[in-house]
Amino acid sequence: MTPSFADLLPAPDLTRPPLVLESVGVRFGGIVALEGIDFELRPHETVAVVGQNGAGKSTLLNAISGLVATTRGSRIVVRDRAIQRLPAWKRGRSGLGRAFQDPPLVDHMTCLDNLLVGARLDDRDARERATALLEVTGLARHSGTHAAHLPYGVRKLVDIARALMCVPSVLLLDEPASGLDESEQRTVAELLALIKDSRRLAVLMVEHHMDLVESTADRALVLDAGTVARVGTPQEVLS
Amino acid sequence: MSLLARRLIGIAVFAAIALVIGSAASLQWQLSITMAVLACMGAAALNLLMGTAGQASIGSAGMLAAGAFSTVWLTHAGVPFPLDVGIAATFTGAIGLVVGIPALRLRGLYLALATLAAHFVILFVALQYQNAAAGPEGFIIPYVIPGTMREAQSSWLIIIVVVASLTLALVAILMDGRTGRTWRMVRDHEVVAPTFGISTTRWKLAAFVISSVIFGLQGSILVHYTGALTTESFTLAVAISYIAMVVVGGLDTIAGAIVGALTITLLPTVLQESLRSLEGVGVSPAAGAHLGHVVYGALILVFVVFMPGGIANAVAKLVRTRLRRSSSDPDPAAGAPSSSSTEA
Amino acid sequence: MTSFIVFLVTGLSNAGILALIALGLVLIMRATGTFNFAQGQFMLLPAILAASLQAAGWPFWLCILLGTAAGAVIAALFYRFVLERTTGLSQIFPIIATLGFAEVIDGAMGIVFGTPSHSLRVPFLPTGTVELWGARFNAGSLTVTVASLLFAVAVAAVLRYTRVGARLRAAGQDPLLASMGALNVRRIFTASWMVAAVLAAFAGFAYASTTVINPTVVGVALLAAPAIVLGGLDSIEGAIVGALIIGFVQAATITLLGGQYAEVISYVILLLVLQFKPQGLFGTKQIVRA
Repeated sequence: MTPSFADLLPAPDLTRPPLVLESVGVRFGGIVALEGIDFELRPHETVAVVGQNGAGKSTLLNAISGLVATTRGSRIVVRDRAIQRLPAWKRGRSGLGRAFQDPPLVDHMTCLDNLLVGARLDDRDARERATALLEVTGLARHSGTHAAHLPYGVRKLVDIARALMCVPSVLLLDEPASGLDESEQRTVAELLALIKDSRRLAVLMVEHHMDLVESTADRALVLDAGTVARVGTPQEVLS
Repeated sequence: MSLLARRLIGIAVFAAIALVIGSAASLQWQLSITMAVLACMGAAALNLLMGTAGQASIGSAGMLAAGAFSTVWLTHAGVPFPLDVGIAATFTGAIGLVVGIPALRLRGLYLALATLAAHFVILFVALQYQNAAAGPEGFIIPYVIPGTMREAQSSWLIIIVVVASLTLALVAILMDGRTGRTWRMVRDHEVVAPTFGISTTRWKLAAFVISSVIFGLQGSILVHYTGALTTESFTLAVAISYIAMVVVGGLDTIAGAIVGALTITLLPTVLQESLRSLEGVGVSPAAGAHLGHVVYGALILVFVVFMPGGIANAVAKLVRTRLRRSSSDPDPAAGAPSSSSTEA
Repeated sequence: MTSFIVFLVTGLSNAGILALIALGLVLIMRATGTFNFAQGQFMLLPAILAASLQAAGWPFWLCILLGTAAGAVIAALFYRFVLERTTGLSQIFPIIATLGFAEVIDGAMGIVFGTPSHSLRVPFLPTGTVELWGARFNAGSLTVTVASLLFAVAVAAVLRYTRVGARLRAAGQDPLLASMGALNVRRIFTASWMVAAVLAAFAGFAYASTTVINPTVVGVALLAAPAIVLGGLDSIEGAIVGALIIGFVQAATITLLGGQYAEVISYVILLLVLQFKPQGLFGTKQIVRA
């Protein structure tokens, strides 16, 4: 019995914005990586963060995750909870799911075990959830395979599936399509479409592949040299 | 059958073999075997800390000393066996906490440096105690197991095999399940692990404290078993020999702990035997100790370069490659832990 | 006044030796990001080799040259054949490798040279005693002290202010960037290890010419660890300052409390630094983060 994708996602919540960024800044020594980022994610929308290399896109995700420190005055709110002062590991439990450009999987653990790493502490059904996610993403046959033996495209999918394990309200994706061939990109696009159509989860994704942005994103946030240059629909922004 | 079940059965088999061989062996060999089994405890502890959690420590000798000397102090204070063993192990765990807290917020190298410092501090305190209470010859402790040498040795063999097996089983359980998975994530991807709700500092600290408790336990039992104690037995070379056990045996495995402990502990005996036959050629016994150092060091270097996963993982990999027809072989034996850079 | 002068000179002589070892450690740290736990052996081996050769009648300069060369060569070999192979492995492996290396050298030295003490006779050192403010010092030892300190400061200055030094620093900070700047990163790392070994060798010679040298000397070299943790693991100035502080702490402890406390106090300092200012006095914050 294949669970529906919606079963694996949080309950819909249209009452408050899943993620709010106010005056978010990041400095590395003297270098300003991000400055004055103001943005509000709307419930269940998918937003793509685009921009040149070095514009600060990954830094933005890392700032939200808590992997880099933000400047004083930055405010990050996840479902009414200000998290900018929380250490990264506490943010990891406040409804943020995170996937990375180079999937950080433990090579000598199975696919399933890697997914279990992403489960919440109080999740009694973690194993069922992981199995279901693997089925839904078409990765069931890899369940017992060591991550070291998985092709890159599969690793990216496992990383995204793992990000969904904690039933997040916001999914942060760093270049989900990078390094993938055509068919793998299609699989990722299908998964993202599935997430988008479920209308249960907001997605903030850094992405270079403009076709993916156009097909999946409701809005696009353009970063330029660490500041917000434009916000609009993908069509508006890409013209 | 799950990996954990296989490991627990393996431990039981190992215990049985150790008891059988031990009981049938000469007194001299029984001593060596008992010491080797005892070393399995520390090897397992260090294997958990370095192999599963990925933290380097040079503090093994210091922790053994902490367990041993606090046991002597407790015995002199009138605390009976085996209560003193429990207290000594806990005390050593507390030392691990004190040393670990400042160091484990920082990158891995700092734990190695902190344990280096802790080694000297612990040995200093132990030496002061030894000089004050016993003199340069060290301590002699009354035996807690009555009977002749032979009878006591048999009893100790059983006690140590049981305690070591329970410790190995505990470590096997810790290496499995959520604890094992979390430590491996910390080991391989420390920078991004927090995004999964993992407090890397707390988990590293837990691994270090647990390993300290086990070393303390081992040191405590060692003192009661040998009945004598001096600071000279706890050198940095001893700490490095435990690292050799882990590297040679295999990181992040129980089999590796056992293989490593047996190999490295029984190595001096083997070397001594072969040197004895060379003695006619003019090789001094002192050179034997130096040869031991060269061999430990060389083994470490050879394994680091050619077989970083150690013997256990190399064998497991071989077995897996032979058996693997389909990709769904549920045999997650670990390999060499690797670091990986992440765009963070 | 006399005891103060003694304290001053003892502190400076400790510092001179520690500074040379510490600079080597910092060089290696900046290049390959490893703490070389075998640095003590790098100090011991050249000195014992040189002293033994001299005792066998070889000319002084040849002994020094061979000793230094031996240290530099095994450092280069270790980097090329062992340490380089650990890239991509867990961060514990470089630490394990240097520890194993230390053991091998220790054992080998024990077999070849045995354990008796050696000392080095430097032919051009002034002899006799010197009197400073009522305190008497061996003229030779005083010269060695001053020379090691000056040498350490000179090396630090070269590393800090010259182009060669800048290249060494750059290669360590970002090997990828440095390799794009047409710096042969591998050659620079090997060079860093060799220079570190040479510095340690000179520390060994200095020690052997003023006191005796035997395997326990490794403990002296390990005291460079608290020195560079205090100074900052990746800081060249920190190495000098840290060595000075620990050198004087040693001297003070010996006079005030007794010799056996000297070592442990330095290690307690190391632990305190980790608790309260982990990057040390001059180290960068990055060196500390996981």
